[in-house]
Amino acid sequence: MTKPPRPTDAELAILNVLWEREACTVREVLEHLEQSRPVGYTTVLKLLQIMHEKGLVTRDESRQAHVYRAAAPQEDTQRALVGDLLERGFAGSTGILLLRALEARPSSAEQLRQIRALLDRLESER
Amino acid sequence: MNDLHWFPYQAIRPAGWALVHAAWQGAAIALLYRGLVAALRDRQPRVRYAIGCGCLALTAVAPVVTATVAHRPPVAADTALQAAVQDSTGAGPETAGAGTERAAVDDAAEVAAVAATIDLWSPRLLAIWMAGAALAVARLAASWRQAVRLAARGGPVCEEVAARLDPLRRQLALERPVELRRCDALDSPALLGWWRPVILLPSAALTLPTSRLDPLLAHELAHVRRHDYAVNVAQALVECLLFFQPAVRWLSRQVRFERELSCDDLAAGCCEGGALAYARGLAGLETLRLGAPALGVSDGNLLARIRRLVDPAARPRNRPAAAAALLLGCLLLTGSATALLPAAHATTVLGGLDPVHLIEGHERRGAPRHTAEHAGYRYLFADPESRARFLADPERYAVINVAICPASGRAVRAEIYRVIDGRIVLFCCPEVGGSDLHRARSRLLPSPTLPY
Repeated sequence: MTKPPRPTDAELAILNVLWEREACTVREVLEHLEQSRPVGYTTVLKLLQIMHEKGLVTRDESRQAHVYRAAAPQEDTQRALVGDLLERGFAGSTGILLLRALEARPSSAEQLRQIRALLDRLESER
Repeated sequence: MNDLHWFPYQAIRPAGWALVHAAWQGAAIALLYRGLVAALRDRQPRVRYAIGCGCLALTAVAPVVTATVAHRPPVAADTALQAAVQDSTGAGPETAGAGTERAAVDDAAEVAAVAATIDLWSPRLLAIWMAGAALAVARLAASWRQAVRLAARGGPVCEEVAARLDPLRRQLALERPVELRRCDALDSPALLGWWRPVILLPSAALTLPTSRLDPLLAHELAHVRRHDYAVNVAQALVECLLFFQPAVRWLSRQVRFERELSCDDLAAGCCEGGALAYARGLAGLETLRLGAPALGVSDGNLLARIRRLVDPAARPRNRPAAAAALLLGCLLLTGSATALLPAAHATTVLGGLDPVHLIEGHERRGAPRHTAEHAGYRYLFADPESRARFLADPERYAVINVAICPASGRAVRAEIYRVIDGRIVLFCCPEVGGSDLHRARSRLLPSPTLPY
């Protein structure tokens, strides 16, 4: 029996929308997420595709706009996550023994915006 | 005092002192690092990383060296006693005449009081430290197990992505083979292992175009090239051993940060398109992490890293004034703490009990503020009167044998004593039998009427 896939933080945000709204298109997920932070359409689309591969969501392709549903009910996923959290609580963050390229906590939307602006500015100066 | 009987006895007191040294030295070294870094802000991160690693190693090594050098067991000056034990001829021993009594003057009295307290607390400090360090190591082991399980659950990556490794390895002159694995539970590429390194790639990264994926791979390969993983494990172990000193954890965090910057430099060098393309690669994956919620609580490190790499206007400047202040602070701290060291030569004896009262037949605990030293031992007294009596006639009240047990010839333990014919005799093991007392009497006190 394989362990069910664990969602990352970003995937969990999308799953929360799907649990609340049952079935959504990409556009509907985007609208819901944008209420709390600015997010791009392609980002959400990419994430949903990855989640579909991982088996976290199911996809209904009968209509032109694909409709996504959460694959597992909220309680199951939450229970699994709590189990993980307890284990992580004792072990501390695995971050100590994994050398990551990006830090454990992602940049905020504002910082991402600043990064983008900086890179675009330098690119155009070249 | 004897609950650590499985621990080598002679090492208990130095180990307790080493823990005390680790506490103040950790703070002093952190100040040292901070000061040096303030003076070297415009240098490459490699330099600061090397200094940080050196400082971290120093925090682990310096306390042990200090404790070993500063603490000597009382000199085995009763050589005649040793001869007496071996020959059984009963020649009268000389009392350890090497040391002279030093009356504790006011300042030195405070230092001596601190030293006495540390001496008496050594076994307990050691026991607490061992429990804490064991817990920290257990947590580290659990972390390790988790990381390994994470890697084991990963699957293979497709050919195109795997093929990206070799050209990057050639550019970094990296000979060690590196395995690539896809890991669904991560949202950032990560490196695991030193001897057989594995790079774990999140699913999101696999969807990126080559120009955005290469920088991420290059960063992890740079870690492999610099043997960062092994250094990281050593760091984690030092953090376990010195879990009680937050300055060490702070220093460790600084070292980790400089390590990431050094890897950024190395990896940006082998990206086509240089630092700008590298920065775009990092930013590309970061956008897929959807950012933190509106609280905006994040380290802001990626922004700082990218700015340092690509923005020529963001050059850090040295701060010589801050450097001088911090180094001065380090010197002051070191100076005042080393004032404690001379007092460490003397071992607190009899478990802190008052010798004058002992000889008169009752056990009274001495106070650390009334101390006197004689022949390498520190005696604690219950009140200034008994201290004055001791100093008036130390030969009568001090222990008669400083280093050697009269029954067995082995080294004494400072807390194991018996009062025989009005003299305090130290022994080496808690069970002192009748024959031991007899031997002690005949070897140390050849004639009961001879006053010492």
